[in-house]
Amino acid sequence: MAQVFNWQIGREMDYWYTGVRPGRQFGAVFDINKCIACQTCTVACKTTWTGGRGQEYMFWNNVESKPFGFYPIMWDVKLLEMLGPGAWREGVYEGRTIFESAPAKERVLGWKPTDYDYAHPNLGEDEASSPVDGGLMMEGKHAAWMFYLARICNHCTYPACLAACPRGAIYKRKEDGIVLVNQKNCRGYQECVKACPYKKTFYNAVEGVSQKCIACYPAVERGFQPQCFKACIGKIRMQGWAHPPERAEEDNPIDYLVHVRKLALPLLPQLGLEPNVYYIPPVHASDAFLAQMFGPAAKQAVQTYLEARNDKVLAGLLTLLGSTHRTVDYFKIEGDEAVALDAERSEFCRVPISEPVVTRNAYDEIAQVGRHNIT
Amino acid sequence: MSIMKKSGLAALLLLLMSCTKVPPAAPNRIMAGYLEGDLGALSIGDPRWDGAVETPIPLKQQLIALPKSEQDGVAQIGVRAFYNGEWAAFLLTWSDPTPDHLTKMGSFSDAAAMEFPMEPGDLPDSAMGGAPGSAKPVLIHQWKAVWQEAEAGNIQGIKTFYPNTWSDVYLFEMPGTPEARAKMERTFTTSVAAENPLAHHGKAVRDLEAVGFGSVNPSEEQLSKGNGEWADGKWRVLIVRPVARLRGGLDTTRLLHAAFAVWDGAKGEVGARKMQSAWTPLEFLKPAAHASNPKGGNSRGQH
Repeated sequence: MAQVFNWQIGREMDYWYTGVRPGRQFGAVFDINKCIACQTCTVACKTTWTGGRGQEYMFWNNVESKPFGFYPIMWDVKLLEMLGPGAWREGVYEGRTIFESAPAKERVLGWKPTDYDYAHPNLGEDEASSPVDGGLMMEGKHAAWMFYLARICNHCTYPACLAACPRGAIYKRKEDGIVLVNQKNCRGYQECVKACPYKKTFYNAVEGVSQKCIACYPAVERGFQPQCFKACIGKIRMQGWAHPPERAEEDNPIDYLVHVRKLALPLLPQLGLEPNVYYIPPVHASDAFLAQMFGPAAKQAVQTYLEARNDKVLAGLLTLLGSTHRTVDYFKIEGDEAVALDAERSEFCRVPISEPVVTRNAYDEIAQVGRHNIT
Repeated sequence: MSIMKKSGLAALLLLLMSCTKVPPAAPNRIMAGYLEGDLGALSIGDPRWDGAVETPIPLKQQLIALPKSEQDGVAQIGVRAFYNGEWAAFLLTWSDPTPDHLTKMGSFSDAAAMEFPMEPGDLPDSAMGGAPGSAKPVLIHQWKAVWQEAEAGNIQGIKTFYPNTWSDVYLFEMPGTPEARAKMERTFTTSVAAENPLAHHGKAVRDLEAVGFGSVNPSEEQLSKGNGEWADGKWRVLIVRPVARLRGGLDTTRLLHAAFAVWDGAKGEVGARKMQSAWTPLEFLKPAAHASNPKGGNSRGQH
């Protein structure tokens, strides 16, 4: 085992290989508060990449309801239970990662789903965290809550799938950090399936090889966001480039949300993979649940989000999510508009930070009818 | 499971064969009897296997490279062998209560392999030739039940396991020219498009080379053949290979060595998670005078 630094857990940790960060790292921000679980992202990915035989059950992109939705079943809670509790102290995770907890005969702590586990992608859909009694929805902040969690491969800095492959058939591209399974070299051992804690590598039984999200690299290479990003109805996503904190750029939208404002957080950072898809946590869920899912900064991130409307830079940047099909390398705020810039800092998209608001009386005197609210 | 059929010509040739008188089994030494005729057409059910010595070879869990099995798999494999100037045939037999010949998520195929050193001199480590950096090359002939199914045209799919499954249309089955549909199918079969020689398309027995853990790759020469049959709680797998090869040929005038591995799919064995043997001496018995003994000698193998 080598020692690598994982900034998300604030310390060095064991990893199978020496850590070499790519020149630039595929990164993304998902705003959970805006997701409506329409599954357009899921279908966009499905029809693009997994329409073949042996891929029927695969959802490289899926959207599940939390806390009771899982694809595959119990993917997160099962591993968290195996891993055991771990404390955070001043941003440093004092527990053990899945690499440090690997059993004697394994490279990584993991578990292997069966076909049954994948057969219920909508399990727990829309189920709230507790029974919703009569009148509960009228009490302000909901005691019962649920939220939608859209998931793709995190193209981790320290991928467990890559660490677990005995053949070195999984590699991380130095040009963009995208993690791929070499389809020529894979022998279908399914070690990656067992090792990936997010369960985003899949075994194709027809072909006898593993397959996974490729971050739509043919599009990303040409400066376009992946299919699931472009198709997002709720405009919850933005793809760009993520850096470690010491290399963060303030006008890089991913860095700004992750490092400068600490609003977007990694999913299950305590596992130790340094995932590169970052989530703006939902404002209405339990603090304890969010802390387990997104780390100790979740509560503050919720507060930051609730105040974002009063922050022109943050509000402006958030309006760029889903407003362009191109990769957003940089951004800036000009007056009341947010501007997306390419790698040369040339403008290619401009959106108003706030739409004009018209207030009308609830009763239309001319038509003699009541009006519905429309926003 | 598919079974290799004997052609009429092959059956006629079998009648014309003669074989070595086989001595009693020596402990931990495989003794290959000499058989004239077309060994390439030898089948698992050929009665002359009854007259071949079966050498029991103990298997132990692979415990050098990660990952390793959680439990022991098949503890012993029986090996019988015939050869002539052109072919060497090996019949591997082991007990396995469940034939695992299809794979799906979280399940694995039964498999077996035999291995030869590729260079003269000191034997390499029997585990894939050793650790990377100090390893020596080894030649491997691997059989997989799932490969045999694919070779026989039994391509498993979701309907194999769930016959009532309905799924959306496959794009490559939509109306279009054969060329367009073939191109689309290739698009959605990435291991084929990448020309992965180890995916589920090809032969039941494949020739591989390795120089250390995790380095196994197809040999440029794919010359071996064979098949397996499961019955009454036992796998019997035939691997037939040419004596001569550009790389990894057998000098049948010398005492050689072979090693074996077995994967029990039901126990989650795959890749490094396997049961394997140490190097086992392999002796090629000299041809006897052409005695036409259809039973191949006076010694009965173990069953």
